[in-house]
Amino acid sequence: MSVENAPVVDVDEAAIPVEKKMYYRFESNDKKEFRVSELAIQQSETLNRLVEAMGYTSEDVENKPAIAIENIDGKTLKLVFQWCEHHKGEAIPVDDGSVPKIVEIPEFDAKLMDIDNGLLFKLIWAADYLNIVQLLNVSCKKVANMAQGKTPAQLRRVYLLPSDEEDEAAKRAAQEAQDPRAREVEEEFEERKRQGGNSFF
Amino acid sequence: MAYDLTLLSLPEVAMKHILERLDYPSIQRLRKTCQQFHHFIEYTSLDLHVEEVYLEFTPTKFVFAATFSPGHTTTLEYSGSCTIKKDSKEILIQGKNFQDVFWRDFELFARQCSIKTLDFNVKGEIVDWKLPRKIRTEEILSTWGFQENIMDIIPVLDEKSIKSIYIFIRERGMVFGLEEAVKLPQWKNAEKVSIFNGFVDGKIDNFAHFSDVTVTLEEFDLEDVMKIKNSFNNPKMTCFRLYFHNYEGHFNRIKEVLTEKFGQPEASDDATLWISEILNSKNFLQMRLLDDGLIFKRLEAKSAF
Repeated sequence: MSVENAPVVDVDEAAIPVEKKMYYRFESNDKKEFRVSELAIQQSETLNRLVEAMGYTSEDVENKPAIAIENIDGKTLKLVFQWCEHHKGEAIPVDDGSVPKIVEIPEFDAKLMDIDNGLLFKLIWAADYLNIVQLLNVSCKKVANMAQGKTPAQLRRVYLLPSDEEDEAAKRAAQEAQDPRAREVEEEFEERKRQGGNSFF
Repeated sequence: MAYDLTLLSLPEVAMKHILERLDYPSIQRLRKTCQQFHHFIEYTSLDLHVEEVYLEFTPTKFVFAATFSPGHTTTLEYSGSCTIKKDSKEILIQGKNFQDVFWRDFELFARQCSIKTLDFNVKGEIVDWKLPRKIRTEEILSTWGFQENIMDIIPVLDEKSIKSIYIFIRERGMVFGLEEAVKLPQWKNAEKVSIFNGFVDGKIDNFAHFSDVTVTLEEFDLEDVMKIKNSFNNPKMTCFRLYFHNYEGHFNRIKEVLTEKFGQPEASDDATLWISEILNSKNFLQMRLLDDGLIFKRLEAKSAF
């Protein structure tokens, strides 16, 4: 599909520009185009810096090609920008290193993240890549919640982790790395696995 | 990013984010899912918060109990070569002595968790800490018998984390040596110290930097009363509870000294009270003389007592 024919997705429900807002255009790696408000972009440190550096005028954003985000597909980017539009203008949390890290997942975010795990991991990847602090917080919290009370076998399924056979291959690679401590860790891992999957906790 | 992602393909920062939102038992279960996760968890420094940890060392077994969230405590007992007991379950790790297995587990725990309260008990065992990094705990509660020394535990605590030191002497009347401990940064950085059931051979000066002190001195000098009063010139000091080892005769002597310095005491049912101004401060110092001790307390205003 050529860029010219690609559908333009408005992710801001109130996107009809009644007031003079600047909307930037972004393009995913599968050539889907998105119009995103200036305020929503501020949620992403990476994109915010990028548009600041570009210094586009309102004519430029219409006339110049959409800004390409080459690492993220359209499905994921749509979720990212929907999240940014919904949370535009909100303060960006600062990680002050305090513990415990308490994160509440708002209803909108919970609905947005009601997706398969593969897509959820892509969303986390994108939140990290685009440096969207609060989206990373809530998506990581969602993944963490999925682990509660699960056995190692259940965790393998939930988190799409390698099977025992695939794990063997990883083990061989680690042995080849010739790290004496890694070998010790592996031996212990095998021993504990042998003793029962649900051993210590 | 056209390919499918799994949890393991996420960037390290995101993986760390996820792990730091899990509780420690879940992390231990994840550690057993696959080799890659095992490695990642082994080699990553996390900052998980644990409410309370109880450690008990005896010559035949080590006990580790952790309260990861209110009402959820996991207790592990390490003994023999090597049996780990959890509730009614037992796991055998063949060919390893229990101390080695315990230290292996605890090393990982101490690397990844910061603790609110560490309750430390040692019975007839000399503890050989095998930790590459110090234990991060806000409070240390420790119980001591005759042979052991505070120097077994204080040096292995992270000096930036420690706020309160509580020491309980198992044998009543034991004299507790502090000469080495008071030189440590952990002692100097802590804000609160309480020593119960035993006597301290240290000097009052070693306590002046705390904000809250409870201590029984083996040797007591009347000059110490004035030293404690002066320690309230430090705006951090809020309460100093000084108990007397051999308090016979102290009551009248101290009462005389305080009356001489601060005038007649205020009337009170169970004690004798003096109020004094604190230098360069709007606060007042309340001194309450009991049969076996003297309690100094900072008051915001004179009317507050």
